[in-house]
Amino acid sequence: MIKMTQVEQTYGEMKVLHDVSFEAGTGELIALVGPSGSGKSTLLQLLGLLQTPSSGMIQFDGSPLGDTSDEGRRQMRLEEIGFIFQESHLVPFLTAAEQLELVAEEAGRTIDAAAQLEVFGLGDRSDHLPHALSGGERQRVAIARALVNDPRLVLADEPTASLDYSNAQQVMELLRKQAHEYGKTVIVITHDERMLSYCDRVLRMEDGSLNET
Amino acid sequence: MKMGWRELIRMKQRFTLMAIVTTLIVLLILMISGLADGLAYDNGAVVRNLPVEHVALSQDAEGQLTRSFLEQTDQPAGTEALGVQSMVLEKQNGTKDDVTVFASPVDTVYGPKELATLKPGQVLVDTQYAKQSGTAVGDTITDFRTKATFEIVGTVSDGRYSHAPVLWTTLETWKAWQDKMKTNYVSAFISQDPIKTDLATYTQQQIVEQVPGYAAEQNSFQMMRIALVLIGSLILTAFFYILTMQKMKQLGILKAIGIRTRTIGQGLVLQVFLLTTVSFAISLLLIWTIGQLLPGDLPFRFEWTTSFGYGGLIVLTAMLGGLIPLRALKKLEPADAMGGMTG
Repeated sequence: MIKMTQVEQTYGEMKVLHDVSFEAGTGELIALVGPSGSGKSTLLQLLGLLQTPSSGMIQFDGSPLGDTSDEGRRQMRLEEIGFIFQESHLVPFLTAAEQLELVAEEAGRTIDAAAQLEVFGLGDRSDHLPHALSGGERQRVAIARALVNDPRLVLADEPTASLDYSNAQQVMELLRKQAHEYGKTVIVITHDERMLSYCDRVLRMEDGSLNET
Repeated sequence: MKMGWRELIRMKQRFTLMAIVTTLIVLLILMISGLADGLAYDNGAVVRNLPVEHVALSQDAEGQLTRSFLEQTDQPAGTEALGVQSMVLEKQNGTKDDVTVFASPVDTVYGPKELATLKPGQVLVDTQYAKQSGTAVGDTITDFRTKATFEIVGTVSDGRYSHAPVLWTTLETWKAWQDKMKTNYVSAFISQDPIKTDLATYTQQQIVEQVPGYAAEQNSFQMMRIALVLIGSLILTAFFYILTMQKMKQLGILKAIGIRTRTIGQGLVLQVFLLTTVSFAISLLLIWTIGQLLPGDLPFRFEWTTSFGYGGLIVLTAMLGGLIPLRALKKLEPADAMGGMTG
């Protein structure tokens, strides 16, 4: 589904990623672990088309992305890639349903947001603004938003970091379901070793290099 | 657009505060402009109120009514004679005031219609002056120099020339007064139509602009208006710039998940437009109310067209100010805005 070949990322004199190559297939839930500053987020941003690599190649479904225009990348981020952030990053003045509608409408789609939220156990929360939701509920809305356009790649940056264990388990369960039942490729950055049991593979970043464990 | 509207109605506290500040800035501009316009109007009010377009003066008058001395025998056809002269007036209580005497024929086409009822020695005074100076209909006033006396028999509104109150009287009274000064002249010939004459001719506006002190005063007012609009616009521009820059992280997240810059930008422009337009409408209502409540002797002038002009200018400049952050938004790299993905 997505493939990185000999990718390097340099900021000025500092090389953040060294010769990173890996491939993630359809239906896989992959954990990306490693100490802070090891290059995990840079890798995730490269996969999410938020950065372009200094060298090397990234392919999406076999097509290299090097020449994709800014608009093309934006459209891929909207329709092919779902982002889940550490602190949900919901729009503070939109209800749970409107968070989903915003992303769907931007892609020219009409959705039944309430029904989609129901899938995530948020059927009675669709009219709530983010501040009226618990941390776990906010993160589930963020996951629902990331999945609203049915993306094939889901990138999650420490989605359980701000949640208690019970809510963290729920989030990981949802992500596993997306990978295993709906065939999405899910890559999750996590520091929580307990969450690794949900993942099919674990990739470890250290000083900008990637090793599979 | 939808997103901008939702933010506007759901972040009420923030936007209400902004609307209040915007309203106060616009109100300040309209208030000061109203006072400046009031003073400007006040300066030549009596001339503006004459329904004439053309005025003939002596060649050396340089457009000033009080400097023009004409023989009535030189009156061009189709015109009406007008006498204008300053006077030091002594009231019954012994105090003195500077006034300007305006005189028209008893059957005047352009002057106050009340002149038709005036008998020799009778005058009309400016309403505000009558209130302020404590003179009333029936009082007798005296010209300090000639000791000629005049009886006040009525009032006229907006009767001011060079900020001094005006006494209106008939040419018959004017001539009697002139005889006491051993002079015999009128100041101008006025008409609604162009005047065929060898005299110097002016339009009504030119005469207003030549009222003593008018030009200097207007220059100051104009600078004041420009400074006000400029400073007000800059404050609003900075205001909307900061508003958007504060939201850059949130907007960066939206860009990261694929929301178009255009979608975000439209919302921001809608907010600036609605905020400034609503604030302007409120300011307009407030300034109109203030205008009604202010004492009549305060030279304040509210005109819808002028107010809309200033308001339009403010809305426009605020909109332009609101567009500046869109450039930053366009350049914004979502990765830079996402604090979480930095490891």
